[in-house]
Amino acid sequence: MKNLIFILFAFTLCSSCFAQTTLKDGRYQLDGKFFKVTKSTYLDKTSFSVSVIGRYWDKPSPSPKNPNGLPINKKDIHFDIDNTKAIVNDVLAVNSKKLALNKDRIDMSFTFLQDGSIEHITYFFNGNTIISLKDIAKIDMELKKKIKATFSGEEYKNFYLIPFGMVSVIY
Amino acid sequence: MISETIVDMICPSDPGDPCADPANFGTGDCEIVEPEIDLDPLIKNLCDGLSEAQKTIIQNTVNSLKDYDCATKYMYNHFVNNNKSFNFCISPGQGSGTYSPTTKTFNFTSDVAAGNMYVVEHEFIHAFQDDSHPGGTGQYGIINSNPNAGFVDIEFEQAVMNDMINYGSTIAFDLSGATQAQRDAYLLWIKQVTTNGTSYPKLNPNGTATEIAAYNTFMSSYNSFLSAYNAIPGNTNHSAALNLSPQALIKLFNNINKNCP
Repeated sequence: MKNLIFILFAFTLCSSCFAQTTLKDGRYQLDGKFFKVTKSTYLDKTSFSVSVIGRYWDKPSPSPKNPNGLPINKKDIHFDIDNTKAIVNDVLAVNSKKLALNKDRIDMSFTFLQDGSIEHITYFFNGNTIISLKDIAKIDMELKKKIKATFSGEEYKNFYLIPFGMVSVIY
Repeated sequence: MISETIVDMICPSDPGDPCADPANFGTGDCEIVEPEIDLDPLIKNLCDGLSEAQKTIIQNTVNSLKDYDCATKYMYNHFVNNNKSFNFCISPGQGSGTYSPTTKTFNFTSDVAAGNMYVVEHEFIHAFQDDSHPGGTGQYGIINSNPNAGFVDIEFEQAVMNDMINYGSTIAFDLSGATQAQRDAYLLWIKQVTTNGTSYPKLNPNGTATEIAAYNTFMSSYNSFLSAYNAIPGNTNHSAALNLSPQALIKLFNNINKNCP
């Protein structure tokens, strides 16, 4: 009987650990940066977004030089997406099996500056993610240090901020 | 995308083939005749004054619409199957392109714009909206530089459709007055509604209780983002909002999937 109670207790404890979400709504300070974690539920599915609170977080972003200029073609924005995914995987390597079991994923929306440096990355996660804010802070630091974009065509010259769209790492 | 104009060399007679000698091109022995271009059924008219190169750009652009993505493919087939066609122009005007619901005319302000599929898809969606909203979208247009009530509804619907088709883009909140916080919230919603960009929302306001609830949830978020969009400082698409039902969005996404044959 004692054994049964112990097994049941251990199982309950383990389930609650696994279901525990590491991210919570709010503002956090980590490594000298402020992060905003937002939880959102749509049709019973919960997701999180995480952003470093940068200079345009709650301020209007700059105007393009010519408001009637042509949009930037995604094909004119070049950066090493494989290396981007490898950097994320390296940071999370210790937990890769747990992440796969949890069917975790990270979706990243990039915004570059004209010199190719990263101005901002927004991270998106499933509601049950086991990825911690500390991991995200490290990923953010590594990506901003190691990833740089180049541009072709002329259109990008019209824009101060150059959005790329999504890069996904799926476990 | 831009191909050279096709020129056929036609000789009145063929003794010794004078066209074999380039010196005879354009002479009585070897006339250069530019063939009539077979217009795509989507093209009602090409504006006067277009060069042959510009006509070719438009023809190529219209050809691209047939399979650029599942959305343009559906819209193209919808128009052609319903015998609806449009005028196409390249001439100075507003922005990089416009669609006039009054004259059913696409106007691109440069050759490059006419061949830019981002610009073309944007205007093509406006034509689809014109076809989908009862009474057309002319009633919500700009008159003497003043946008009618509902103008913002049409522009926002177009932006959301574009952002769902081109997953990851945030056209609606890329406007210069918008903030990163707004873009994050909007992109998170787009991500949820499209299940990480793998599907389109299926909306049925007259369906089962579950479908109606899903529609109401969608509309609640949609209208909230519409209000935020309308309030972006300096938004040139600002107008009185009518909270119109996004008929074109519903019609398009109920009829297409992310992958299409």
